[in-house]
Amino acid sequence: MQYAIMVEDLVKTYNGFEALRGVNLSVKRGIIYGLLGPNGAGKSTLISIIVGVSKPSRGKAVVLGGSPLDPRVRSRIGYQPQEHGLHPNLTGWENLYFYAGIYGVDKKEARARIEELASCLGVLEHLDKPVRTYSGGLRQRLSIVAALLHDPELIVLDEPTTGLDPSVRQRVWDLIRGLRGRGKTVLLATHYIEEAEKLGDEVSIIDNGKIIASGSPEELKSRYGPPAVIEIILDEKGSVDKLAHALAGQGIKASATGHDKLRIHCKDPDALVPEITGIAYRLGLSIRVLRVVKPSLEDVFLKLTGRRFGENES
Amino acid sequence: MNLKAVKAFLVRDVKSTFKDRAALFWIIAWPIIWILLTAYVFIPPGTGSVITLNVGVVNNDHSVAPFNGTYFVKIMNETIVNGKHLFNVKMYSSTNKLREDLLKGRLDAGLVIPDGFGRNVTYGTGRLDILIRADNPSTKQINSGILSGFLQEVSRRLSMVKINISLRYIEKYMPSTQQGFSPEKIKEYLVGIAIPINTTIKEVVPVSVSSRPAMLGWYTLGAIGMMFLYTGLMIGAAMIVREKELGTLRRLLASPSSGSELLIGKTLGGIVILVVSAIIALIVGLMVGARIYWSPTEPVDWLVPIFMLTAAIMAIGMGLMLSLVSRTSRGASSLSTALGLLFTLTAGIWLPKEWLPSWMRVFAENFPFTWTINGIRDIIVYQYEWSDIAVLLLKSIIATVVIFAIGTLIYKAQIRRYAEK
Ligand SMILES: Nc1ncnc2c1ncn2[C@@H]1O[C@H](COP(=O)(O)OP(=O)(O)OP(=O)(O)O)[C@@H](O)[C@H]1O
Ligand SMILES: [Mg+2]
Repeated sequence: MQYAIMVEDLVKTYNGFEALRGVNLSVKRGIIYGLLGPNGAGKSTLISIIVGVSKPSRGKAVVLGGSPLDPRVRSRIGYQPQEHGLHPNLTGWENLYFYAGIYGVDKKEARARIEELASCLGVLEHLDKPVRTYSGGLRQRLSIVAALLHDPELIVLDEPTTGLDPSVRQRVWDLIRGLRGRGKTVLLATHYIEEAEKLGDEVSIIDNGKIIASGSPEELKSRYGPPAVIEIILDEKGSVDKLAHALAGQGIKASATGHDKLRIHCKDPDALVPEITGIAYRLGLSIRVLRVVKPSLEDVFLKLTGRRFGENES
Repeated sequence: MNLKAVKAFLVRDVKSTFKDRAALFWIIAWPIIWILLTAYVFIPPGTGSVITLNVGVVNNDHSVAPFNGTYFVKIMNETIVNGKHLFNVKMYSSTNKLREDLLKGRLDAGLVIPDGFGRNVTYGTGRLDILIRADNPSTKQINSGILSGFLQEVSRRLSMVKINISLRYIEKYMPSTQQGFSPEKIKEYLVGIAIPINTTIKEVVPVSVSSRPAMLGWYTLGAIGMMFLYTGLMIGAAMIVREKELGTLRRLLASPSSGSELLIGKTLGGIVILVVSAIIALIVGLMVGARIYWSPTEPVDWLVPIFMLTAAIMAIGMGLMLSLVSRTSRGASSLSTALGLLFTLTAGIWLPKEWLPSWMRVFAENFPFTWTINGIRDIIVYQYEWSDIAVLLLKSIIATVVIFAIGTLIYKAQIRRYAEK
């Protein structure tokens, strides 16, 4: 079985409103799959169907080779919903033991898993306090721990890093990569472009209840993104033409944008930059500024929807 | 069925409830408040024991006879029944003052002893004027009953004294040869004139009424019933809504546990909470003097936990029905409290059904939850036997099964609807 998740022509309507409008998705095993979309795009709705919380109005989802309604399948899925689902009056330990119980994990095993996961996310020392005293970020991390207690094969995270500061976000990313390292499949919904791009082996961009593009971030950018831009500012004014000429000789098209400025559009800037600096060096030109602007998934989104990501949210 | 999941719900609900101050107030403090109110305000200590009447006396008697007004007052002061003075006598100089205090409610009764009372009693018939405070029929009855009982007893004793004096004269002056006129016969006849009927009164006190400990026992169970009702209703009504608000429902529905673990775990948790608080309330009841008797060696007493279980499950089952109209846990809680208190007052749980108008009494007699509470009352307050409660037990169990089954169907439908919505 190659796919952890296969979703076909999924439609979900809420009293006439189509939250999902024919979604197809296949997630290979052992990868991190990013589901990127602005608020209201339908990420949580899609995830609810994949984890079996909600039934599709049409279409079907096959998860880990079975139906997400099958308890045997469910026991192999870890789900971190968007709302954390923690009891405010109980301590972190009590909340986590509760979820361990729900998944039938016995206390001893749960304790070991909690210690490992909680220290990994830096929440271990807070577990004795009642959750009502936790900051939002702490709750978020506790909620991630709760999803992993039964060592699931497929982990579905709905915006795991919303509200986390950068250093903590990094810890969560490390944890997610670690899961992939252990052969787990991770489906990650996010509205952070950076997160999808950095973490996702594959990414689907979802908007208005439809998946508008899928592929690895690199593929998506090269397919839909504009070319990368290399911008060079030289120390001496007036030497721009000299450099442009030399570059043209190597088949690199550069256009002057000022006395000392040059701009190059290309697909693969990483290969080009050493070449350009080499040529400049041989010509005895000194580069003051060299800037590479690569396309991001944001550009992909803009290209596909005509909207900037996060503006005019659906 | 995943027992670990059931236990997880049970443990979590019990822990979080006992950590929640508002919940503790309603589950533990509130019934205790009612038990204490009953014991010290509604049925205060002393209820049902001998009443001491406050009696004002105007003594106008200046007779020199041995039994005169002063002597009569002395008897009043010295009369003790069951270790308690029957009268608290206050002397007045004028009838007007006495009447004034009676009108102000400072006295229960007044006696005016006219001049010549002693002489008249000795040589003929004395006269007493009695004033009774009669602000309502029952105080009138009590006050006049006590006074006339006392006066009858005094009269009876005076008669005996007078008979004995007469006999001495008869013995002295009557020829003893006369046939059939022995002094004994004459005495018997005279006593018969004074006391034609000698009644003895034996008190029969049914345990089911009026003794203060039994009443306290009844009301302790009333307080427990009230708490069971609104708490059980709330547990049932908020069962799904609360989990939705906490965000646990999503996670639960994504887990291998089905909805039944939630239902069973939370119901069991509710039972634990209710039974623990019932035991606390029973202990408080015992401490304030309620008649509560339970012995583990008495087989019929083991029906008490069974009745308690039916009460808890039935209340939660009714709560599940309320969940149909509960959109938030706050709403569930207000609705449960309101309905719980309403039923408590109208269904013979807190107010005895004898106090209710007849149409409401029909409701009280047919409200299944009241059966379960009455079952507990019958056993631990009134020591009923198996045969007395077998029918009640059967009715309670059947009603519980039916109500909880309906509740379960409603619950399942709602879980299903959540996934489809
Ligand atoms: N229970 C519901 N009833 C009606 N409409 C709903 C319901 N849940 C979601 N929707 C609508 O469906 C659409 C998709 O919602 P969804 O929560 O899946 O978006 P999302 O991508 O997860 O957004 P976010 O980033 O804000 O979490 C939204 O327009 C939302 O308003
Ligand atoms: Mg969402």
